[in-house]
Amino acid sequence: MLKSLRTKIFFSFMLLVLMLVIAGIMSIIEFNKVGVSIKNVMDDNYKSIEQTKHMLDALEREDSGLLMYLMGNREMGSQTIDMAYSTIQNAIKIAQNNITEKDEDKYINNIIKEYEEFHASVKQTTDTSEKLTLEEKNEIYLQNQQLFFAAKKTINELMQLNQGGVYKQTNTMKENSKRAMMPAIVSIVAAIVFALLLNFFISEYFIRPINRLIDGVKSFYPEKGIINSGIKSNDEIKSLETETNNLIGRLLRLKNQSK
Amino acid sequence: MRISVIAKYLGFVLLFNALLMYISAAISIFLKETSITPLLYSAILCTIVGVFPQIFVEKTEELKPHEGIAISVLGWILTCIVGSIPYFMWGGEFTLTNAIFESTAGYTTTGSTILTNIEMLPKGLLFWRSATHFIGGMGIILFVLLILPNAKAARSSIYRSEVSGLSMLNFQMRMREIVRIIGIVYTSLILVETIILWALGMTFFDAICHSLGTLATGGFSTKNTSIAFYNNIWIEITISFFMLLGGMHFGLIYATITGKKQNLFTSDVVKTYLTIIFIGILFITFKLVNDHVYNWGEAFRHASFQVVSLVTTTGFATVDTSVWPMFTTVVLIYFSIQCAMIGSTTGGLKFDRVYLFFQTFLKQIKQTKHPNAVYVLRMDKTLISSEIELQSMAYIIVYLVILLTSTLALSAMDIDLITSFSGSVATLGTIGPGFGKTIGSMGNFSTLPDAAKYIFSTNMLLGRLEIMNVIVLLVSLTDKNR
Repeated sequence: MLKSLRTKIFFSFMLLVLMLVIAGIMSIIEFNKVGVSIKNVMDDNYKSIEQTKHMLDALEREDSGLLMYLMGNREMGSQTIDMAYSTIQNAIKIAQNNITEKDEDKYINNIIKEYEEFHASVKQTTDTSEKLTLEEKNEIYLQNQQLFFAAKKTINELMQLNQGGVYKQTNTMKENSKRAMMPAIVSIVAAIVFALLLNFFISEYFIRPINRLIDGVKSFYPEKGIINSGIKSNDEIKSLETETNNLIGRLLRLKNQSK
Repeated sequence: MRISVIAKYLGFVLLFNALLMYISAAISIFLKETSITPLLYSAILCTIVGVFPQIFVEKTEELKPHEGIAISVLGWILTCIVGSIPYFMWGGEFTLTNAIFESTAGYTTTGSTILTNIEMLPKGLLFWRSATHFIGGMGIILFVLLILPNAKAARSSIYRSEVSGLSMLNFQMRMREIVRIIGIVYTSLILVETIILWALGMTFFDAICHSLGTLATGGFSTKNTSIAFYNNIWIEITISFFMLLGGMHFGLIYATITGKKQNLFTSDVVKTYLTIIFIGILFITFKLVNDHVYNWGEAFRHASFQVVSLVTTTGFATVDTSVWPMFTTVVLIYFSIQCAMIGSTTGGLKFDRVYLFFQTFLKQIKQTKHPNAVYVLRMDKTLISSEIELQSMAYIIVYLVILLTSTLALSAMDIDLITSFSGSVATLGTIGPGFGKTIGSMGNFSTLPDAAKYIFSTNMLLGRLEIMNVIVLLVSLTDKNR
């Protein structure tokens, strides 16, 4: 038990400060988690989504390149196919280095498998197209279309996986930001309760004893000898009462001596 | 009433809660869960606010009786409020109302829940749910008494307000000794059950959480489908056995272990209590077989578990009883009203009072027959004073009045009769699940209006606090001459 009023007040305020500081630290930690979630969305999921978009775009261009080639614009078609191939390979590499979701590597392997089949078929078509009739070219192009759609489907699946990840991360961010606010909200309520309690204790242990002392002084008469205000604590106010009584004693003695 | 002294003791209550919050937070930290901040901050907050009154208020030896009651009642209310902070801060399904409901259901060992998916909660928070059962099972105030240093007179005053006169009958010793015995029996049984459940195939975490829920007769499970998840007859038998123990007078359990004369095997109240449970199990088994719900073995297995679970106010489930015939529901509602024995961790009406009620009834018949004869009531060879007799009768009446008032208030919110009545029975008796599709053994309280959840929370507190203390406190507060 603390005896000095000064220490009591000091510790009370220290507790209040401690509570608020901890609430602040907890909020900072939680907001940092929100930041990490945002980073995850931006760096990881969004990066993968961007790469799948590049893949889809390049796949479409490769298909267009094949069509150009078959239509007779061989040089342009060949260039388009090669550029698309290099774009897709690049996007796959980035996606492989950015695995963030469960089984994402399997999805990427599926893309590689389906795309390689499509690209091999495209290459085979361009290599043999010179000898083919228009009907045969049309038939081969339709066959290629099936492989094209299969490759496109796997890329879309990877995109959906990462979009799901974004949704999940957004929900986490929502929860984290709510959680980050909570220490502050709870602290506000706790601080109000704390203030009310502090007010009560100040009134009980400071104001009331002082009032008692005032009443004691007011009702003092020399025959009584001392002031007894009924203060039971062992703090500065009790010391004040004791010292006041000592003073009264000294004054009374002085008065008696002067008589 | 000295508010500062009450605040000092409420501070101890907060500090004890903080201790278990730190343990739950440690689990979350270890598993790197999302509940670290809610649990850790709640623990720190409880510590700070708990320490605060200790700075100002000096040691107090003497407590007035109504101060003891105030500490007991306010201690429980405060505990339920601070216990809801981790839930509220964590969020998810926990709105402020839901958090208070869940916390009250935990501390009062009711075990009702608003969660639709328990398994998605972080382990730290799941442990905190079970820890509230642990605190509530023995009684937060008794825990405080156990750790309170040198405050004999004050301790005695608080103890009298926390433990009913009837439950002191089987304790022939000093107050401090009684609290110590309750603590020893309670924690020992929890440890033994944890080891057995672990050996039977539960994970250690599940085993300890279910043990805390069993001995506290609470009923919070870590699984959405409660004990049905394990579909293991040995786990069911173990839990049933410990639920039965949790529903018995701890003084008698201690007496049995230490070889005292007056023990579980010689107690007439225990014999009658077990006989009635057995008859209830038989009734339900026959009905379930007769209605082709189960075969004999399955019917007896599920009937036994459900009856023991409800009579001991635990509320664990192995099946969905809402699909059972109406007769079985009526029998189970009877057990939900009767509840278990005084001196245990259970809440509600309690069997001893029902027993005493019928004894008094028989005494009155004899008295009418022989007006000049003197009849005395005895429970397990202990003479029952007319004061205790009267207190018990008054308690039963007040209990039933509150039950009907609660049902009426819930019906006014357009909640169907079976939900409002069985919900009131389940919460006032601190059982947990009610009956019907909404709040049945496999249901939850999530879809009910907020006002209904507050009524149920009040019921839980009244059931745990044994009503009379709350009434005495209210009378003390309104009494101008206090």
